[in-house]
Amino acid sequence: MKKFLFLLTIILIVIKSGNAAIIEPKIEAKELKEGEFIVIPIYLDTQFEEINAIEVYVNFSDNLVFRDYLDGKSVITHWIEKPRVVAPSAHYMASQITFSGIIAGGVSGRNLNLVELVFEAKESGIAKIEIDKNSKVLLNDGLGTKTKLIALSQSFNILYIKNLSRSELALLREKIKIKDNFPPEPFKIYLAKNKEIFNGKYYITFETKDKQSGIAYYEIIEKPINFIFLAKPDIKNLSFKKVESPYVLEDQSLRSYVVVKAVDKAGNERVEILYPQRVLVLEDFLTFVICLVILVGLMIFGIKYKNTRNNTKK
Amino acid sequence: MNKILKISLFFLIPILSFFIFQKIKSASVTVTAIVPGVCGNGVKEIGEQCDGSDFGGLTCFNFGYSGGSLSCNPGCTLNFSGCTYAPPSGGGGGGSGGGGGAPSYGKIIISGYAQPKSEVTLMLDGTIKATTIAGADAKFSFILDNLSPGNYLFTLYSEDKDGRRSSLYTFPVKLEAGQTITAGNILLSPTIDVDKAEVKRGDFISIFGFSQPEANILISVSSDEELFFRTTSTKDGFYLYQLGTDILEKGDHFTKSKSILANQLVSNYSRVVSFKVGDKSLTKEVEKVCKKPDLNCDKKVNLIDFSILAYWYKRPLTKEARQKVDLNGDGKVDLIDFSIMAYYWTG
Repeated sequence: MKKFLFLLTIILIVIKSGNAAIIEPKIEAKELKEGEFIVIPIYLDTQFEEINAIEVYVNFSDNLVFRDYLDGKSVITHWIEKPRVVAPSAHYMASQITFSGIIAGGVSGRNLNLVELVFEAKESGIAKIEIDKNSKVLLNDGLGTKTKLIALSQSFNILYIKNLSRSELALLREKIKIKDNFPPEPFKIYLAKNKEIFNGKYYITFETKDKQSGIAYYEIIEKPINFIFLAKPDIKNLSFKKVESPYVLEDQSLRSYVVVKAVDKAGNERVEILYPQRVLVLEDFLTFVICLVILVGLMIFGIKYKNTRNNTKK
Repeated sequence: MNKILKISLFFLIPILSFFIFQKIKSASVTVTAIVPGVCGNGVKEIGEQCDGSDFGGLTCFNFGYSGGSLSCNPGCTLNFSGCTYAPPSGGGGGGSGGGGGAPSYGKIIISGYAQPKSEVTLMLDGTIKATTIAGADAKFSFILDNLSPGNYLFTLYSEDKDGRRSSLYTFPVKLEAGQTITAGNILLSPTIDVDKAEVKRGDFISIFGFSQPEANILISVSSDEELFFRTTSTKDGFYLYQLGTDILEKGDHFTKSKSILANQLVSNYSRVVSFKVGDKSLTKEVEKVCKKPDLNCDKKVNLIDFSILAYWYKRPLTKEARQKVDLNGDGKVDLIDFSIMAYYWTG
């Protein structure tokens, strides 16, 4: 009878979890030293479903500190919210990491990397990373149907290390550094205007990926067009400022080169340029015509003056 | 008198039985040629990982392999024994790391079948990377080189000559430094449309679109139960199925199609088209307004639309915004709206 009940329970679990996506942290290290950094990839197994949107909450034990994230390997094509720590809330009494994004066109498969979270092992003891059950996985069905989710957890041991020197600690942390000599992927800068957002002003939107270390930040400069030479700006001599996408353009007349630089976490760069949309606007044309009229007038006046002087001399 | 009755019955019975037979035949001719929900019917359905050569659009790439082909076990579960993992070829010196050395890029060759003379678009991580026109035989190919090693999400779709789009075909690829990956025999789904928005019960509705030339087309009509119908496409890829609606209940119905080429390659399902069975017939109008996720109405669903939706994410919506950006009409912009947008993504 007991055997039968056991079998029935297993069958019920299997039936219940049928076609449920799985999100799990994968930790290879069983032990970690205090002060050491660890990269924990979060994987999605769609279980033969096609998925296109996720919202994940990650719970982590007190002896871990969230330091960074790496999205170079992520299957997420567009981030709604990049990984960040959220303060304790009504549904969870401790800090959580949350992130959400879409996979344009949907994806099906297993071992799909969602993101890699970087933690510092702060205190010795058992450390735990757990995918919260409130995380959401939506089907690529055009309706946003929520699919069942199996949220898994993993733990490892943080060892107490006595008097670890700075250089030893640096060496430990060096292990997680990613060797990256590839620039971020080429990308497109989209110019847009929408009366309901940003007070109807022109803005640009852009996004790219870096397949190794991930994107660290974006920089921008708007360089007004040089009417005399009509030359492209010299990128090396420009002073960029850090921005995020979307970005409302300062030059709403669209007569500037908009230079966007994507920088990855290893410092490699990719620069893309949005060319001026309006080279010669009406006011420029009028100024040009007025200048031309004045110039021609002066020339006529000069010629006439010369002729009259010559005539008086004769 | 009795003789006359006998003679007339002699003629009347065969004539009547012929008409009854024809009536039964005409009613049953459209009814499913496939037993639904059964492993071995050649159609991958709910609860099955595959069925015959129908893998639901999945390839070895979806499971972390770099090539080869899937097969289907008798129990309709996937068999990965034909999947391969090709190590990085050439590239010298191996490995992507090591500062100073010249980066070793990878290459991917993608080929398959769309619809004759259709425009095929290739997206890389949700952004359009290239477009091409398929040949008269529906074949297309792309070669992308100078790809840095890493994980990529490739998406393909096609647009037939009437502007109807296939569904998106997506596959993830893990590319190593110096590696060349070949993804061939990709079969894009047919395009699909119906001629009526509402059809009077008992009348015919035309389900049509474009596919590969001379392909077998499997049409699914779902309402309470899923019904399957088969037809074939012409040499120029056009297919048409006249569905008698007397077998459908009154109400909303959905249809989609998939193509089967040479009994070996099976596409994933097309986009879903809806129609209503009711008391009158109404011709389907050509959509003049832009599709809902196309928030800036430029006939594309891309990063611009995403930025508009992201602006309203978790913000109180204005009256105008509610009409435009709230894609599922629940009064807020949340993950569901993003999911709907991702489904209609065109890059």
